[in-house]
Amino acid sequence: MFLVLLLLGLSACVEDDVKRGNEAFFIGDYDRAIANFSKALDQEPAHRDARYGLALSYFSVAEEGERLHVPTFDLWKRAADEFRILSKIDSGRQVDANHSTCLFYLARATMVKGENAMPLLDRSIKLDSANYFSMNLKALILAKSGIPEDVEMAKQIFIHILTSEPMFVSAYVNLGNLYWDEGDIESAWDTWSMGLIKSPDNSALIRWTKIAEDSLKSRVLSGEL
Amino acid sequence: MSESELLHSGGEADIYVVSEKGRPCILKWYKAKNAFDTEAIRKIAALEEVGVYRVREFGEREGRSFVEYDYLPGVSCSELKLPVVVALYVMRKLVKTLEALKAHQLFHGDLNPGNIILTFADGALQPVLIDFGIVGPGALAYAAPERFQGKPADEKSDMYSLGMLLFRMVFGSELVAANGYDGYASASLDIDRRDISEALYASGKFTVQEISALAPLWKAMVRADADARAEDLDEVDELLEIALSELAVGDVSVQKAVREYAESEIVEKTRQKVPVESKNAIPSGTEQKQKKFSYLKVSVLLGIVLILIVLGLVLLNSGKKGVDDAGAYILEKSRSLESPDAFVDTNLLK
Repeated sequence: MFLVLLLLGLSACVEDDVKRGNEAFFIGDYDRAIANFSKALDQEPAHRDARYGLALSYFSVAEEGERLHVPTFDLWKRAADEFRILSKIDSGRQVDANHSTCLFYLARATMVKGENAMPLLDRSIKLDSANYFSMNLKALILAKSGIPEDVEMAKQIFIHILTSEPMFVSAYVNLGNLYWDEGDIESAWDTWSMGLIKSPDNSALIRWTKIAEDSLKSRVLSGEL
Repeated sequence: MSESELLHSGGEADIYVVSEKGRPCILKWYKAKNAFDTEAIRKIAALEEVGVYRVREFGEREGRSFVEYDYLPGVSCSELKLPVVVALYVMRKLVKTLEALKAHQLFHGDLNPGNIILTFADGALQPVLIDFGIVGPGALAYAAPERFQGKPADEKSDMYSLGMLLFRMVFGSELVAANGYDGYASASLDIDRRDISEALYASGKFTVQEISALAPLWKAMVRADADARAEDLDEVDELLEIALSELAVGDVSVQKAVREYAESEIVEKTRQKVPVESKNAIPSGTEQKQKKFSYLKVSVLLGIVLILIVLGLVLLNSGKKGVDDAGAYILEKSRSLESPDAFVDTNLLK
């Protein structure tokens, strides 16, 4: 009986810590949120909500770091570690999208350090096949490699993004850039102008569509087209 | 093999959908033995090619040949008429698959709409080839003239069938209609005299632009003399690419057209696919008993699923709201497309 009461008491403490962690998180007091979620995890390391709360708190701290333009690798690494542990205790798919986003940011921070980010991006996409940010970054890396097969794959990824999410404007810019680099000015113009329809104020698209248009006109005038 | 349902019973074979360790498979149980080229099927079974069915088992049972392969959630090409752009896209995928098979010295030999399943998953339309290892010329309306002369399938005969298939895809019916084997053999030899562009024009269903884009393809594929056809599948692919570029503005437009078609036609038809009759693939005399048992199993399974859903909902609503709300908020914020300019910047890659 004593043991049962003790367990109930401990459980109530853990829930209180999680509750306090949530309250701190929602007012942006991430340090206190981290302290409370960590306290709950000291009692119950497999507590799903406490672990998720801790992962989200580290995520938010890292996001703040991005806004302040400070090195963020260690911050994202810490958040990603918590998501990795969380994935072992939460068999549902509810947290996968945030885990995927966290890996995307970690991949960017990894690239800033000059290291290979591709495995992180692949994991990110595997966790969430609708994470077009990760796909876009993966395609940019592939395009940059200059290897013909990789460049072709990059094109297919950009096309996949645009057919799935036509408002992902960056992919129009990036796909157009690829065509332009290959000297396929017609396709570059097609792609950029399609992007411009979706986002008429995008300065990169306005500029590049105009350049491609001028280039096509001059080729017509010179008899090349 | 645990459960099976008859999908179709034809002159050549009975087709069943069977469950193998919980995985749905198709069992094609021929009515004769030696019904296919065992060597070709052996090679196919060893392959893992995205555009080719996955053969799990093949051989003979009770004096009849059989092939078992993974069930493909999709629609047979024979049930569809495709817009020209979509048909060209599908043809390019087929050509890519055939080129991959060529590297293993494998040719289909019976390309016809019934042997192509169009699947649509994760936003991608993929034709999958089934029924390899045909013995004989294959579907007569699609067979190249040399196949009627007993020659084995090769790149050029598959190329001819692809041309006939393209016509069927866009037009909705076959280019050649004849009586019996000899009639089709004779019609295939006379194929050069057919003005396919004229037939498309007369139907009134095609734009001049479409007819003109397709014309080089007929010339490259639908020719009686194998030497007069395109040099290889790579050349056919180039012609398909040119035809597509004449009809659609860029790859994105093509993908959009394909996706819209697939979402409106393939998805719904795939959903409607249901077996027409239930019966045991291997008659055992305990059919009724097995049927009842399977109903019981399904009911128990449904009950468990329902209980799990209720439990899941209860758990979700008991104290987890706070942190999941935070997660949803963070996700919405981080996936906003309002400021994606950061991802255009390729400075990271320099």
